[in-house]
Amino acid sequence: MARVSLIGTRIRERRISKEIRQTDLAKLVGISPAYLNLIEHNRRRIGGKLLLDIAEKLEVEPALLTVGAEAALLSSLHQASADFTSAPVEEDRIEEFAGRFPGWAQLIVQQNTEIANLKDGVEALNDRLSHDPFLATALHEVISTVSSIQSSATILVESEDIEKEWRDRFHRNIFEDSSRLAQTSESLVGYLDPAEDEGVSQASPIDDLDQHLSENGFWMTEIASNTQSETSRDTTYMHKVIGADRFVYDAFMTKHEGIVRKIPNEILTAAEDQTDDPGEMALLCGVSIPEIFHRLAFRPKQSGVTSYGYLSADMAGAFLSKRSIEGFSLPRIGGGCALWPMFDALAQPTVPVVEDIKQSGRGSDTMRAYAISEPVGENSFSRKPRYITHMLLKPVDSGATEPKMVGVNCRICPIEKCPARRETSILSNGF
Amino acid sequence: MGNSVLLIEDEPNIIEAISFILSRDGWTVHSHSNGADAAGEVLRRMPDVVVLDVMLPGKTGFEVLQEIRGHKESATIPVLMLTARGQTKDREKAEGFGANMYMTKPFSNSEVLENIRSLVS
Repeated sequence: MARVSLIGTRIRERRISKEIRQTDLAKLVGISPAYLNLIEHNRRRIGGKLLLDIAEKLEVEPALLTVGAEAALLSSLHQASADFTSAPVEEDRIEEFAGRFPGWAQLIVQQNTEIANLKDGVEALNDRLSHDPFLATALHEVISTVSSIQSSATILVESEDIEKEWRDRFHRNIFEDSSRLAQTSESLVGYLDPAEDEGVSQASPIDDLDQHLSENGFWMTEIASNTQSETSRDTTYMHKVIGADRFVYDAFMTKHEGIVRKIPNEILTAAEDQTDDPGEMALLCGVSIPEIFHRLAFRPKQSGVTSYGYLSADMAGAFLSKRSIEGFSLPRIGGGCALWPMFDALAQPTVPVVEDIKQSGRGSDTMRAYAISEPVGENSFSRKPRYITHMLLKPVDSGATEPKMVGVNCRICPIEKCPARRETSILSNGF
Repeated sequence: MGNSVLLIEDEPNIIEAISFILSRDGWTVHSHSNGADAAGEVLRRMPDVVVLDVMLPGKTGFEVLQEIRGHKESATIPVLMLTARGQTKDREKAEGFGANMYMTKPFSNSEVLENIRSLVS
C-alpha cells in the first residue's frame, strides 16, 4: 500500500501546486469530488485510464505520479542504457550518477526521448515509403519520364544530322514528358504535404473514417428508438467525401445504426453494470459478440466510460473497420501483426479468444484483446463461407502475468526471431 | 549489322528514343508494351536481343523473363533489363532469373547502345 498512498499524495501535491481546485479536477476527469478526495487521501486505489486522465490534466508524466520523480529518472536512465547497448554503462552506478549529476542525468533522458521521437518519425516515413502504392507508382513515373526526357534531349544535342521530322517528334516528346513530369511532381508534393484545410486525405478510406470519427469524439449516433436513422449521419462529412470514402462511410453507418437500434444505450449500460466481459454482455443484450464489440467501440467519448479500440479484418488480413485507441498503434498501410489474437481467432471460427497483449516499443499500453471470427454471407454445402475476424481492445493495468509482446507490423517491429516475421525490420540494423 | 532487337517497354517516348538510336546503328527494332503476352512476342519475333522493362502492365518484367527462359527456343536470347528499380535485390533477382545485363533508368543513350552491341558480339 505504500506505493498507492504515495500516488494519492503526489496527485494532491501536484494539484495544489497547479492551483487547481479539487472540484475542478474531479469535473475535468469525470469523477465526483468526494471520490477524488478519497484518492488523494490514499483511500482508493487508482490506475489505468483515470490515472492517465489525471496526469494529463495535471500536465505531468503518469510515471511521476506512480513512482515519483527520482524513481522515474532512474527508470528513464535504465531505459536509455537499454536502448544503446553498444555503449556499455556502469548500470550498478546509475543511482550514484543521478544523485551526483542530476542535470546531466536529465539531459541524457531528454536526449534519449528526443532520439526515440526521431526514430518514430523515421519509422513512420519509412513505412510510408516502403508500402505506399501511390508513392511507388508516382516515383516510378517520375524516373521513367526523366529517362525519356534525357534520352530525347541527348538525341537532339548529339545528332547533328537529324531529320526535321524526327527533330520535331523529339521536341514534341520532350514537351509532353515535361508536362507530365510537372503534373506528377505537383501531385507528389500535394500528397506528401497536404494542405491543412484539405478535406479528403490520401489515407485509406478506413483510416479516413477512423480519423473523422475520432476527431468528433465518436459522437455520431445515439439512436434512442427505432424511429431514427438517417438523422444520425454527419451531412457535412457526407458532402465532403466521395468515391471509396463515401462507400465506406455509408456501409459503416448502415451497420452502426442497425447495431445501435439492437442495443440501445440503456440496455448496454445495464449490461456493463453487471459484467465487464464483452461475451457476457453480448448474452445479456441478446446480440452476437461482434455486435457488442462494435457497440462498445463506436460510442461517444465520455468521462467514466471505458474507451475501447477495435479492428475487423477479412481472411486476407485487410482491415475492414478501425477504431484507434491510445497505447496501441495501428499500421496506416499494409497488414498488421500476425501475432494479434484476431488472427488466432481465424483458426478457430466462432470460438472466443482473450489474451493480454502489449506492443513492443514506447508509448504502448497493455491491452486485453478479445477476439472472435465469424462466417459471413450465404453459407451452403456448395458455397464456402467467408470469415471476418474481430478484435476489441481494452486498456488494462499490467497484471501478474506478462502480456504477450506483439508488434504493429513487421517493418517497424523490433522483436527479434519472431516466428511470424514477413520481412526484415528497419530497426534490426539500428538507427 | 542487321541484328534485331525487341523492346518490351510501356513508355512510348522511351520506345521512340531507343528505337531511333538503335535504328541509326543499323538495328531492326520492334516494340511491345504489354507484359501479359510479351514472352509470346519474343517467340514470334525471335530477336537477337530483348530489352525488357520491369514495371509492365499485365505481368512484371521478372515474370516475362522467367517465361522467356522457360521456352527452349528463347532460352538463350540475350536479355537486357532496363528499369527504374535500382535496388540490389532487384538486380540480384533479375540475374537469378537469367538476365544477361541490368541497367537502371535514367540511362545514357550511348551506354544502352554499347551494352546492346556487346550482347551480340
